[in-house]
Formats: sequence, C-alpha cells, structure tokens
Amino acid sequence: MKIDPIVKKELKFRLNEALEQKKRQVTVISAYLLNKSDQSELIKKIPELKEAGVIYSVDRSIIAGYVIKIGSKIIDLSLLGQLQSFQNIIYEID
Amino acid sequence: MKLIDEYLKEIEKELKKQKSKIKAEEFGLVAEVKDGVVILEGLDNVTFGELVEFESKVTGYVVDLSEDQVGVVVLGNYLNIRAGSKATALGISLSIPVAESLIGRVVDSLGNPLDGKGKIKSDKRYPLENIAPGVVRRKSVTVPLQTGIKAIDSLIPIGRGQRELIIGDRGTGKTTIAIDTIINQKSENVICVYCAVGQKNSKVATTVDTLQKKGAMGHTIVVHAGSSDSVAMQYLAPYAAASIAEYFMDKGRDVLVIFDDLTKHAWAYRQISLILRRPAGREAYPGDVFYLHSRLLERACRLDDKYGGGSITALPIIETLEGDLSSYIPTNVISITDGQIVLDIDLFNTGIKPAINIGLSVSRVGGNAQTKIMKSVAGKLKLDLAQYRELAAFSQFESELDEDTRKLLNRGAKVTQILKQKKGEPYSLAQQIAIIWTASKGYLDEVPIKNLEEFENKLMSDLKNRGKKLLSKINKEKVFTNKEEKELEEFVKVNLPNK
Repeated sequence: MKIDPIVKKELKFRLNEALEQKKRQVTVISAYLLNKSDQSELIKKIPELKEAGVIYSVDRSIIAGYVIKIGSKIIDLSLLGQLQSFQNIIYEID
Repeated sequence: MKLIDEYLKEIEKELKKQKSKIKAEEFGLVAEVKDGVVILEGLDNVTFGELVEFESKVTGYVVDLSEDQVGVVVLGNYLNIRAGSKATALGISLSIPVAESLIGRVVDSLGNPLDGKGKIKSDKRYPLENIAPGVVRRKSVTVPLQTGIKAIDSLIPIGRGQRELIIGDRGTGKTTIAIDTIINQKSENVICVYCAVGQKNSKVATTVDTLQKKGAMGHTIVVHAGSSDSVAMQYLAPYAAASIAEYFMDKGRDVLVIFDDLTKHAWAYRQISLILRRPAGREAYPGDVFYLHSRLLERACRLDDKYGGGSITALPIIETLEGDLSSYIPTNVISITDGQIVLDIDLFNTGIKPAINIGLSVSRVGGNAQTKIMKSVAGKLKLDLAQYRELAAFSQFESELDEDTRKLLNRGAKVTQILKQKKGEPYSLAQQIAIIWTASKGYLDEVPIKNLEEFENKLMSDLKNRGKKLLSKINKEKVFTNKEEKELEEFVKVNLPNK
C-alpha cells in the first residue's frame, strides 16, 4: 500500500523515538512488592532510578535482592545470581 | 571422610577468594535461533568478537552487529536455547588458555581437553584473532625444515617460517605427508600443532594413535574440531591452532602447524555466513573467504632475533575435486602460500608414493632453505626429472631411440624409483644424501628397476649398522667432502647386486 512520504517520515521518526524510549527503560525486579520507603532507599543508592517511568516488577524466583535493568545493561544483585556464581565456582574445583 | 573434609576446605578457599563486585553486564534476549546461530535483541554495547553466555552456560561469539540485533555463533550445543531466554555479555574477546603443558594433549578450539587427561592449567590466554607480525619484525627464511620425505627435501625444500600448501584429490596422501613430517621433527626441536577441521572422529583417533606409536606426541599438540562438532568450533579451530603456535613462537621456539584441511574450514564459514544472510558470492562463499585464509596464514612467519627468533611453518591442506587446481578456494590459497606440493591421483595409482607431481609443485623459498650439501647433491635431480618427463612418451619406442635418449630415460626411471618412500618411514638428511648421491652418480644405471627397492633397503640397513659414524657426521656437521664421498662409495659398491 502506498504511504505518503511525509507521513512515512513522521512514522519512522515516531518509531525511532519509541525505540530510544525502550532503550532507556529502567526496570527494577524484586522478590516481593516494594513500598515507598524501600523505593526511596533504592533511589538514594542508584541515581539512575530518579527518572520517571521506572517499572517495578515482582519475580519470586530471584529469592531476595534486586535485579536492575537500565536499557540493555543488567545489574544482578539477587540471591539467585550469587548462588549460581557459587555453583560455577564449586563445579570448577577438581 | 578425609577426602570430603579436604574437598570442603578447597571450596571454602575458593569462595573466600571471590570478591563480589557489582558490575553492570550487557544483557540481551534471544529473538531467533537458527542452526548454530542465535539472533539476540539488546546487548547494545558489545564489541565485535566478544563472548556471550546463555542461560544454559553455553558460550557464544559475536559475529554480527546490526542496528538493533546481534548475531551470535554458538560455541557448543545450541539445542537448549529457547526464544526469549537471556544472555549476558562476558566482556572478554575470544581467547584460548596456553601453557607448556599443552604439549602431548588433544584439545578443542576453546582449549578444553578431549583426551581425558585432566584440565589444562595455564596462566596465560592468547587471543584467537591476532594481527600478523609486521614487515619489520620478520626475517627471511634460511633454516630448512626437514620433512624426512626424499622428494620434498631434495626438490621442493621447505624452510622454517614458510607456508607450503599440500594440495590434491581425496585419497592421494596429503595427511600422510603431514603426519610423516610431524614424526620426523622428533629430533629437530620443532613443536608441531596438528589442527583437524571437519575430519571424521575415527580418522583423527587413528592419527593420534599413529603419532603416539611413533613417539611423536612428545612434541605435538592436536586441536580437533570434528565434522559432528558445531560449525563455530570448526570455524575457530585453525585460529586456535595458530594462537597456540604463536605462544611457542613468542618464546623463541620453532613451530610447525598443519591445517587439515582448509577446504572444510571454508565450508564451515560458508554455512555461518549463509545463515547470517550475508550476500553469497562465487560458489555461494561469502565475499571475505580470501581474508578468512589470508589472515590465518600470514601469522606464519620467521621472527627477527630481536623478537625471539622463533618461527611458525604452516602446511595447509586443500582437497581438490577432479584435480581442478583452478577452482575458487584452491586458487585463493595458492596465491597466499609460498609454494605448493601437488599430489596427483594418476601417479598414486601407478604406485608412485608419495604421489608428488614435481612439474606442478614449487617452493618459492627453494634453495635458500636447503643445506649446502643437499643443494649440491640434488642440484641436477630436478633437471634430470624434467627431461625424463618430456621424453617419457617415447619410452615405448625403446629399441628405436638413440643412445643419449635411452640414457636419459633410464636415469629418469631410476631416480623416480628411488624417490618413492613408504609411509611412516622418514629419512634423515644423511640417508637422503646417500641414496640421491648414489643415483645421480650413475651407480644405479646398470641395476634393473625391480631390484632397486631391495638395493635401497640393503644400503640403508648397512649404513645403519656399519656406517653409523658416517651418517651421524653428515647429519650433525652437515659436511660431505671427498672423504665422505669415498666412504659412501665403498658402502654402495658392496651392496650393488652382482651382474
């Protein structure tokens, strides 16, 4: 179907903006729901969280701690991650 | 109980050593999984050639960076990777652990042991992709690499630091030449690396067994990526072998690397490129298939004494179809290497083994890499053989030819016969000089062809028994004056069959 080139340009621009937005998305995954005081503690330690539009989600499988995703970077501060790295170290010992 | 206590102590020690660092890792999600290649979304800041780890602890290697996607080649089993599963970047580029303890081992492209003799402990890692030494760091090739094969050491001599291609159809003896060369390096202080790419596991097992029986594993490393291993491992195996060789070269050692074979390596690379949807060129190979081999073979060189004086000699192997030397990959590699050893199926079938086609084979280093004595003895050989080949068609008219032509044909036939060699039986420099001198001086002109093999065996065993001093003098001091000639003449005269 033929699209007017100006409309096409505008759509492309919007798409790129949306992608950029997604790239800068900050997500915090915790093992249980965080209340306001917990969230403010977290924001004090990690300044990137000050931005509006931070998604807080809950995932029981990480057992404890936080997993923070900033764009495509991930900071793994969960208990599950620690246990997995211990597992790797123990497997390497002969 | 004591064993468990020890084990627990080890665990405690290791865990205490680990300092927990909070670092931000690059993170991606699997979008597509194709045969051995995974397309990921995310991973915005990875570099080309970085290692990536999947949920199932399998590593991958970044080969494609697009605006919003990353293509990763899986180094291992890709069957458990699901769409939507996570992957993190490890921040290190592809490298292999290297150590002296690698000698005698069989490893895969990532340095993991395949022979069940325990993990390889090393403190150094060498990158798989390395830039070849520049012009200033190199020295010209002057030291010979003795292959132990008469035809090669006399007519197509190879020097340390040279790249010599072994090319031929299937079943012409390419791997045999390579293995015989490795076996001969036992007393030459050369470390050998045999890289098997896309070979049958049974063939590699037989090869390792042969090397062990001949005592060659004491100076050999085998890098193995079989035809059932993932395509990525087959693609990386030659580079891993080159990295291991560079480790020893940087220590000042001479190394021999054999790539068996680069045809299958090009096939593996073609498979990866087609899955990544890179544009296909001639014969469906990607556009950079020349660069694939040139950057590998340029790493073989001889370093100047200032930089250690080590060297890497490369013997790549290419398999042709129907003897077609002008096909795509063979012509590419011929233009990269410093010469080729061409093996002919027709010569093989007539019983000339090694089936080396002297006319088409060349060594661009040539006489510069031959000892003086071999040069003087083998000097006329090539000319004699060339004249013989030209006149070979006339050998059917034997009775109608003039005396000179008949002499040439006779000499040529005798020389061709003595250049034949059994596999697994390398000749030392002195033994080669002995037999070639005998032929070029005309002592064999009167001996019928069917008795030549027997004469050669008798001469060699006689020299081994009574002529030990003569042989070791020629081997160690590299001299062949009138005195040695006279001694050798005695041995020859004694062993010549009576008329």
